[in-house]
Amino acid sequence: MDDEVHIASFIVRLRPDAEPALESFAHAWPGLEISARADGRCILLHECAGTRELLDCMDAALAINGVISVNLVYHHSACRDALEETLAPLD
Amino acid sequence: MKTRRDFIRASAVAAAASVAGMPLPPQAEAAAEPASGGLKWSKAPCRFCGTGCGVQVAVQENRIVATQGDPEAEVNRGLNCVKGYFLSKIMYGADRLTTPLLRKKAGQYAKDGDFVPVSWDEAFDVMAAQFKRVLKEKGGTGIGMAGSGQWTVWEGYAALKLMKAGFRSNHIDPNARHCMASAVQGFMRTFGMDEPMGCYDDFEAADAFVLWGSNMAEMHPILFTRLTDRRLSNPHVKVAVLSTFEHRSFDLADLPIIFKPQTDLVILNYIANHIIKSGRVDKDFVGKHVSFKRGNDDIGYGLRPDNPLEQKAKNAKDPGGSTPIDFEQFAAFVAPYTLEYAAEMSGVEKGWLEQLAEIYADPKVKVMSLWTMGFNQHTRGTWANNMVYNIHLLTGKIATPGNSPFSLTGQPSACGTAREVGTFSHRLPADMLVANPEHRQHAEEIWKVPHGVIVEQPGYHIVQHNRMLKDGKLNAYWVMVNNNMQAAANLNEEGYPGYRNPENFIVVSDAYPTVTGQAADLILPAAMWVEKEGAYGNAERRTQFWHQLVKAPGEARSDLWQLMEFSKRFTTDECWPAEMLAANPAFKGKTLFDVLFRNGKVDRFPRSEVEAGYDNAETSAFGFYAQKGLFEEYAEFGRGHGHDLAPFDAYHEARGLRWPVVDGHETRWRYKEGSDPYVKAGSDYEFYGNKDGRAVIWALPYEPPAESPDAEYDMWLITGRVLEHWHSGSMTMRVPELYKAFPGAVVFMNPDDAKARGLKRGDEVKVISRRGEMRSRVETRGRNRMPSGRIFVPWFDAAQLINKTTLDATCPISKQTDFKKCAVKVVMA
Repeated sequence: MDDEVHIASFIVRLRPDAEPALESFAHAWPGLEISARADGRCILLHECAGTRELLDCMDAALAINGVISVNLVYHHSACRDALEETLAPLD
Repeated sequence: MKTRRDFIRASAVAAAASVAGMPLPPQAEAAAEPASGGLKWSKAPCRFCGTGCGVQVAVQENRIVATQGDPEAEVNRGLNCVKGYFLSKIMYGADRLTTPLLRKKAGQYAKDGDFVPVSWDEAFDVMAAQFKRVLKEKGGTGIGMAGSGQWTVWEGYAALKLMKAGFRSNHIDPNARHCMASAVQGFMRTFGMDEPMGCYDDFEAADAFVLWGSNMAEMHPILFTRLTDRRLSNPHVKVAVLSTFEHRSFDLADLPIIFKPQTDLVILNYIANHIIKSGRVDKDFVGKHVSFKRGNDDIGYGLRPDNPLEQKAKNAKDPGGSTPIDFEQFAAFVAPYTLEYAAEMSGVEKGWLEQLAEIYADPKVKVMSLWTMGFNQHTRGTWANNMVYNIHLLTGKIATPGNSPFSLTGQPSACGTAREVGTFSHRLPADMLVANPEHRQHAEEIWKVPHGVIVEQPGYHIVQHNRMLKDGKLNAYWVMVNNNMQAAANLNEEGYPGYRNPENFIVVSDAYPTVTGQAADLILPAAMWVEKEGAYGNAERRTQFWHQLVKAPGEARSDLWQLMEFSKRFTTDECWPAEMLAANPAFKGKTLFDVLFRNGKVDRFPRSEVEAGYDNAETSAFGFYAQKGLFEEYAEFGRGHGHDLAPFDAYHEARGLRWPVVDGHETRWRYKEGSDPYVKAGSDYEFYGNKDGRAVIWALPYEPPAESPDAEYDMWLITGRVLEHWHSGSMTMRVPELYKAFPGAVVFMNPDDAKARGLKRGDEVKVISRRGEMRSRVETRGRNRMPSGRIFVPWFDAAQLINKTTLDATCPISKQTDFKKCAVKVVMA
């Protein structure tokens, strides 16, 4: 399954002074974005090609100074074509 | 919302926001609950550590296809660590065992033969013949069993009955001995009753956390997340992390403290002294609820009796002995443990030590102490446990929300199965002891077996097992759900020679061909986790159940089935003395299965009581609901005695319940009036495990480790675990993602130490001790940062057996091995 897409969300706990570093990390890492933030917590959304990339991203986030923990919450994998299907609107 | 991708992205964010307790971002608001897509979801506790996270397990066509954190589980509230996330994959390793394997030559069993697949009938025929040979030669004392805190509650209970009542052998001991024994002895000596008084709710109530040697960030990541949440959202909260090297938990440390190995004992006594000298003893609490004892000192190191260290130890034969003292004598005992002395011995700066002591001394600070192997795997492990209780008891900071000395556990049912069921060589269920005649009689009555069946003498503990196999005293040995050849210390001199001793027959039940299995004579393929109905008990006294969700592959069978089925091959005449049977003729000629499991109690629930929609392989095999019968018989031991369990069916409904469960209510804080139904009105606190209702403060000194670096073996070796792998790696090494994340063990080393030896990062080296050597590679960067003179090597890697080098010195009271301190040298390979 070469053409798989993995979509995952993580909760990141971090010290407030680490927020700029996490922000530039999210900007630089392919397929990664910060979806929400609150005191000491962020939600990262990551889209990548496999679980290997997913774990690499978690490891790299954890390596940022001031990041205390990275927990994976949701993970879904599917082939690219299926993901591009248009969903019928809900009645 | 346009495409499936948009929908999934929104769902992912919505799930994380809900778990984190954050408001839903606008782009996620439209996300509905993910559709189930033909999957059947059921609850189960995680298979790995003692935290006891709840997971949701999705099944499709007899296969686990997904797991996710259970949002309704109080323990983890929807979170999962990386091991938990890949949980389902542990069952589908390519080398999963699906048929019994027996060593054979020319069609016959032969100790020096090669493994050949055989039927269950042949496997049990050969095994029973070997066990009967030993029974004839030596009686039950030649039979041993190594169990585990990974057994389900009823598997441990069935094993205990088979060994202690069936074979009349007390030589059953769990690998939890390597993990929890010092914690158990600490609880028993201080409180007269095992397991923590507090619970995980303390994480949200404490003002300070002290991690004594524990690397929670990697070993208990979900609990560390709760601790992190508390710290980051409450600026007044402080976190102290104490260790002999710097690890990931230090990222959160307000007080980062690196101390010299073994000097935690000095620091603990210094804190007690500081509390006393600064006038912060809670005198009212101490006067009403505490007594004082001085423990025997110079107690040796649990090595073989002919070891010079044992011969020169004054109290090697009575390590647990004590004399009563009073508060003044205790104060005088700890008085030499001054700030100056503690700083000199531990190598920790005075300022840090004072701040640490103040966390405990300040009456306004609610403090939670947390520890695992740093205290427990320690030649003075029982003492370290007693000494941390000392400082909580002196200040009355105990058994109320946030005031909590909390022993973390390493295995999913170290508490539920090993400790509560009592699968230790000296124990019976509900903290009872084989050495106590009343306890034996009570157990015999519940089991409906003749008086005198249970042997009085405690059996061999698990470290002793390997020694007794080597010495030819144990000859028939059954290992279940553990990898003790890899896990136990000193495998070159004790473990391997014991298993390959020609007099011995070794059976290993496991899901994978572990190092232990490969050293055995017969390997039995085991069903694992949700391939059977199960129950675990976590570190906060929470008992959790799950249903069988899939069928085990091939011929794999649960340990429960194996134990019960094997018992059919023995009669009482082969196992019990003739005079006992003459006095109890009703038992004569019966099989152990009839006596232990067809006893009118274990077999009283029909298969119709298994919840609709779930399989139960054991019920199908035996014709009765064995799990329910065993659990209800077992629960008789604890009900009304402070260990009350709820009715069986309640646990299939709840996300676990914390015992004692009285009148349908669980207990969060024991020993405190108002939260513990066993505490008498008006007493405020009652430590009812001890007859006088008082907890014991112990006067115990610093004593040196069994082995320290010298001119030739000049480094401390510390062993331990890493986040991605659980214990010996027999499951996690088979998950490709986890294997790739941390494929092989390395030697974490200080860069200056490496340079001084002409080594650089990635070089192949030999780690050599007086007992053996292993090859590995140097790592000078990464997650563990070593002080000079200390190396850390994880033990999960079966290709790099660090336990060839470790010393089998134990705490003489708990018999738990110290895997954290021995002397080695590191040279270029």
